[in-house]
Amino acid sequence: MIQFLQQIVNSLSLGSVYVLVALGYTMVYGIIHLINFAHGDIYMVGAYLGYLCIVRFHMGFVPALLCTMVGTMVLGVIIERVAYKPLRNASRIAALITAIAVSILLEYVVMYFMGPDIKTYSAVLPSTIYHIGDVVVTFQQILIFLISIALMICLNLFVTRTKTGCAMRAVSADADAARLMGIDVDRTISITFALGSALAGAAGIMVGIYYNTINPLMGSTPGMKAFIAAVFGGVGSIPGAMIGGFVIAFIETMVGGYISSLLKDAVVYALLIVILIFKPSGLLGVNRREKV
Amino acid sequence: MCLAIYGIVAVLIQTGLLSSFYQITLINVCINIVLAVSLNLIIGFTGQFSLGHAGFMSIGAYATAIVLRMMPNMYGLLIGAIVGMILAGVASLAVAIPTLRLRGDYLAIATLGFSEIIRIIMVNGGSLTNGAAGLSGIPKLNDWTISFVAVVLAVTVVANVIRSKAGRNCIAIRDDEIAAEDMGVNTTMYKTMAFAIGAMLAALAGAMYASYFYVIKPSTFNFNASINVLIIVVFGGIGSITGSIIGSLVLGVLTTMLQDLAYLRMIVYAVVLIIIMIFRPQGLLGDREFSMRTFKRWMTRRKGTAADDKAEG
Amino acid sequence: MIKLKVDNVSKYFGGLTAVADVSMHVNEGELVGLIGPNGAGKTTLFNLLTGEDEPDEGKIIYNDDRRAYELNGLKPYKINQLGLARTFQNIRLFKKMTVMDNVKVAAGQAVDYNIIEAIVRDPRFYKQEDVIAAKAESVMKMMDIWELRNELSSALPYGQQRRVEIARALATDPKILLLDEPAAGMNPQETKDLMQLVRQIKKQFKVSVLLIEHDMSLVMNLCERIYVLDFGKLIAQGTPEEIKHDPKVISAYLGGE
Repeated sequence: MIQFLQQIVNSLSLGSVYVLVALGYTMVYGIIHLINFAHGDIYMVGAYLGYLCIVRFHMGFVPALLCTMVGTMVLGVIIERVAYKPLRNASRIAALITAIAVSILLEYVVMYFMGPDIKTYSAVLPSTIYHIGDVVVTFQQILIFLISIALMICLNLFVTRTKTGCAMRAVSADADAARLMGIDVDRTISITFALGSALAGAAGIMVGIYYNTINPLMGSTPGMKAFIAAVFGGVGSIPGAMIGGFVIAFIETMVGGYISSLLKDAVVYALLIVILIFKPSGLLGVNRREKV
Repeated sequence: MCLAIYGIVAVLIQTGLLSSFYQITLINVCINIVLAVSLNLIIGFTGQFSLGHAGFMSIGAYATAIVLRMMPNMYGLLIGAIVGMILAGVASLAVAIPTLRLRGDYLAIATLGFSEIIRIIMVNGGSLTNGAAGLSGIPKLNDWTISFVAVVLAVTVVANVIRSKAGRNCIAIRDDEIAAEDMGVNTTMYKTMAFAIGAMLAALAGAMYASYFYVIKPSTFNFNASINVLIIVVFGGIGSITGSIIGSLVLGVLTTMLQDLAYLRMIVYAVVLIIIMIFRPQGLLGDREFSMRTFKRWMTRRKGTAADDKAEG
Repeated sequence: MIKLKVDNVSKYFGGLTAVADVSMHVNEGELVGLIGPNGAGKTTLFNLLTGEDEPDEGKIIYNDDRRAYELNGLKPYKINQLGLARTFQNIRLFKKMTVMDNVKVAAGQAVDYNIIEAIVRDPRFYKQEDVIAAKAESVMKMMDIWELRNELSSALPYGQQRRVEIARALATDPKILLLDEPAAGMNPQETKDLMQLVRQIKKQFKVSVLLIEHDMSLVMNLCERIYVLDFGKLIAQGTPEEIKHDPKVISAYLGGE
């Protein structure tokens, strides 16, 4: 029982990370129907930016977090403008290949400048441990969880209450109609990328702090899993991504804890395939049919 | 089929003249040609975006390695390759049947997921696959002749499939799946067929790899490996067999020449890939093929203009 | 003999009733029209007939010379193999293929060689490829597009693309040809040519034709019987004369009082 509760606590922090990254995937897919393969690497860049802020520039946690988020935000917008925008009307395969290429680019640029080996974060947050009964909860876990929730709430408010947020939802539903209504579709898309990337950056720096080590290829597997979380919750649905992130983290932690840590990835991939077969629109997603 | 004859004549001459360093490149190119044309069959000709090619390759590689350990001779190689191809074919059915109803991006992710699952199975295969350390000491039975035969085989199979009713149906599926189905094409069957043939040829490439590079690990056949084949296909032309061959050659040579530049090389590849996608998404050859007919026509046209100049002069 | 029978078919998309309790039939050798304002459910009905969608209620029955088949739930390629072929509202040719290959895909149904024979190229393969080529040639010649055979289908002008699409459908040897707005985008002269073509097709290929059209002159002059759909419901049926004077039809198109 204790172990079970402990796993739940662990899965909450993992889940927060997945949610932050999944939100970027889901928003981008919702608005331009592209699986942004490079998104996991934006998360990785966030971790490296955090490293630079904290270890090289000796910033505190909050300034580092903000700088990282701004940094990844800018990166996301640049990528969108340079690589994805020209391909908006191209075939799906072309767009996907470009996304893959951007992913490779990010990974190897980081490898080139920072080296392929792991980098270690210096301690920037207190490592206080709390005990709730026999369950161990660290201050860092709580902070990550709370910050993630705060970011999720902010995003939700932004998307539902502001004009830009409304524009984002309109463009997701029907870009041409949105354009006809006077919405600046290009700007809206850029903002979507900006928000998603900022969240991924936040996730990256928090992971760097929590797990202490980072490497240039750290984005690929969590990126995949975050994407699976987005699919689970319904690609294009923000609440879906939030639910999906926690569910996937929960499943992964449980399988890793109770069955085998080697198989936990396989289980998540298998889950993806099961979802795609039986309910590709996910939990809260919208089913789109091709018009004949 | 005309392409094959041309190849046999010109390239067999090469056998004795290359240092072992270039021979490695050569065999690598051959393996990549087999991978590229088989992936092109799936992506380029049938329009099914598969990112899991490395998974099928690994099945072929491991099957060959395991059989060769028991039978370290040519028969072992042959049997291993065949076993690998059959297993890959079966695996492709397992992958295809649930995923082929998905479109574009989702299909890509699903195939990627399957490939990762296959890789994780290899890691967890116990004494059979030796886990993450992989299998080593595989008898090195592959050489130029065998590789060449494999390449000719793969190219011929794919070319013959394309120039047949099945091939036309696959291309129709790529161009407009709904229209194809309404014209009586059993789209599920043909998509599955393309997948299976592609997977079996990928396994052949895996067999080639295992018996030349004599060490295989699950990490050899990861997502990056699938991407590398995809890059070749895209570069050479989605939907062009000749393109895949040329792409494998060019990129194989480039990789060897730029070997020392490691990260820079990948950065350059990535940038070039993005540029190609923006400015020439159909790749080098698009969906055109180079055949004896086009070559002859090109030659006669040149002779023709020379004669005209003479007549006027 | 009734070739195609639609019995009380309905189709719902979420809260929207696209087709409501429609019954109709097409007799052998008939030329039947399906008209109605935009959004009336005509193309949806076509999609039900060809198998893209499945009716939520009712049955669709096709009569071969030998037996009756229920088409509900069959996949489109099976329905095509039984004898229904269609063209599309927005032309759906195989863009990257030549006209010849477009038609050959459709003609390919008739032969039966398998993939091994294709790879190995045994004599049966060549013989059957010849059969396909011959069939494609005969259809293209009858449709007057033989000279276009090596052109890339997407490079052709609109009117010729329509012809190719119809030829392609005919190459599947249908007994019933479904044409979805074949005259869309055509000028009056082209429309007249199309009418000629449809009559000619009916005679030469011995097919029954069911067509959706907005062009009233074409429908009234070409069709032997007409069904009128509005908001998914059948509001009138009969000969062109009867339809022309039906007050319900007039109000559906022009708006009632």
